[in-house]
Amino acid sequence: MKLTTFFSIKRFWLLLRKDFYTQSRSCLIGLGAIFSILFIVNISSILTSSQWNFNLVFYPLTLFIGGFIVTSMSFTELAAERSRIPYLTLPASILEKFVSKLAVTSIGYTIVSLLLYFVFSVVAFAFNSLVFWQAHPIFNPLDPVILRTISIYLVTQSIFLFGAVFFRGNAFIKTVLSLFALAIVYTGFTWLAGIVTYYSLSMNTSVVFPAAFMNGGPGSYPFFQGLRAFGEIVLSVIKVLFWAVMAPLFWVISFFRLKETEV
Amino acid sequence: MIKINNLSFAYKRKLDLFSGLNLSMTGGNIYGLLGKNGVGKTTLLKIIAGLLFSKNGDCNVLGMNPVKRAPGLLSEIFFLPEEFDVPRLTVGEFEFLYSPFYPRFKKAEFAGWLKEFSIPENEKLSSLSHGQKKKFLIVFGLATDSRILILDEPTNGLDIPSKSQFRKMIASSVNEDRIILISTHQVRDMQQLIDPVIILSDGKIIFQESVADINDKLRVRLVKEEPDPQSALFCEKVLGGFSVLSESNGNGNGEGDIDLELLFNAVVTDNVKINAVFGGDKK
Repeated sequence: MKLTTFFSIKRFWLLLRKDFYTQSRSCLIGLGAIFSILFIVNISSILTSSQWNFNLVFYPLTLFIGGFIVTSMSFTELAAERSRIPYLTLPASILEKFVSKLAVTSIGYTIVSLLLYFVFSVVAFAFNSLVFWQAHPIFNPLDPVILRTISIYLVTQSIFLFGAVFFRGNAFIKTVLSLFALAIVYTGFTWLAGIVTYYSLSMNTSVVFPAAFMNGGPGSYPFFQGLRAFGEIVLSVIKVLFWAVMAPLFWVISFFRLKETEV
Repeated sequence: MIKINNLSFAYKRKLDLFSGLNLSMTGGNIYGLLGKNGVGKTTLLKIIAGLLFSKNGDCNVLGMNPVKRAPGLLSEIFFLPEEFDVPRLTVGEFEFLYSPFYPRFKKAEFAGWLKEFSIPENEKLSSLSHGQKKKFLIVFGLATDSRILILDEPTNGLDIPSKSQFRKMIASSVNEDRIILISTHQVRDMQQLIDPVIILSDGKIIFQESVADINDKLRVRLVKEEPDPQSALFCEKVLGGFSVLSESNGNGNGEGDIDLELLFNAVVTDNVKINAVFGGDKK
């Protein structure tokens, strides 16, 4: 290993092995608890109705809730000074340490959850078929809905990874509360914007709502046509921001936060 | 190997802990870093290990800036803090997961030292006593063969036989290519081990001398009557009289046994007076 390299595959593998080894226990305990609950829910749902696709509801829940919790716990070493010292002095670059955590909590967790959920669905299918003569179908990991769900998880997980680096302890709760706070601020802002817009329109009804508008409906009025076009542009921008910008942005911020972490 | 120039450091919303601190350390020595509580001994160790970032000045460790936390430098530094956590792993698991990060890890010595310290290999580290955990980390740190071994209060929590074993291990581990830096309040535990002695006070290194020079230039005697202040550099009341630190007037042979606690108190009380014996300013 060269002294100056900031990314060595060998060191990265060693880190990955260490992170997987030290985190797998809590991860498996968590997944064990989730699958026990899922098994009970699965049986209950069979007894009431088997018409709906159980897996398309409960795999996403397993992926998102479990994945966000595991991700939030990924930097527990940073929570206290006692554990921060050995982590920061471990001979690996910050980039290697960050990418290792990212890999374990994103791709690693996804693969483990897919495998375990598949095994769970086979066991549940066999059990329900034998006992109740009816069962939910076996989980198909290649279902387009599942693939789309995974891609959404891989993007949104970056927020919780940032929370794990940023917050010292109880990162999951703090990240969720922060998201709620942001959602409230955003809702308040849009509500205020709506009030202001509506108020200004209603104050000049004769100008804004002429006869042509009233006869043709809101969509025929140029202002609203423009607004709709603007809305579509905003939606496209949001899609680009979500799929292409959000995850890398949070990764970069998290990396620099980790780099600047002191004891 | 370690060179610190004009270093300044302050914790958030606090006054400067260090301002214009200079320090130079070379291989083949077991440095003893002494200082009162709160003078910044641990902070200095953390700056050297790249765990804290200084405000101004340079800190150069093995030719690199520790702030960058380059893996090559980290593999040459092992830092044992005073308070630490160990993962829920057995000795074997810990070695399997962590030793590959250190390219020159000495497996055979590691196993031998574990036996010497009677550390059970199949128990989880987290279930060991504080002293056993500390002994395990000392052994692991020595086995990494890192060129800079930083130990913060290493003998706190060790039983009496372990302190003696610790001294033997450390003494046998030092070589020309290695710096062992020990911060301690337990000067009696370290009396026979540390050389040179560094004393930190008021944000600066106020004393840095080798034990040979100290023994050559200073002497300690026990007298019944309080000595004339002109004839002594420092004295303090002890059981049965006064312990007096005075200049040896060239009679010392460098092989004496200076009481480090007395020396420390003397330096902290009036470092100018003590440093004058060593040719003026501190090194």
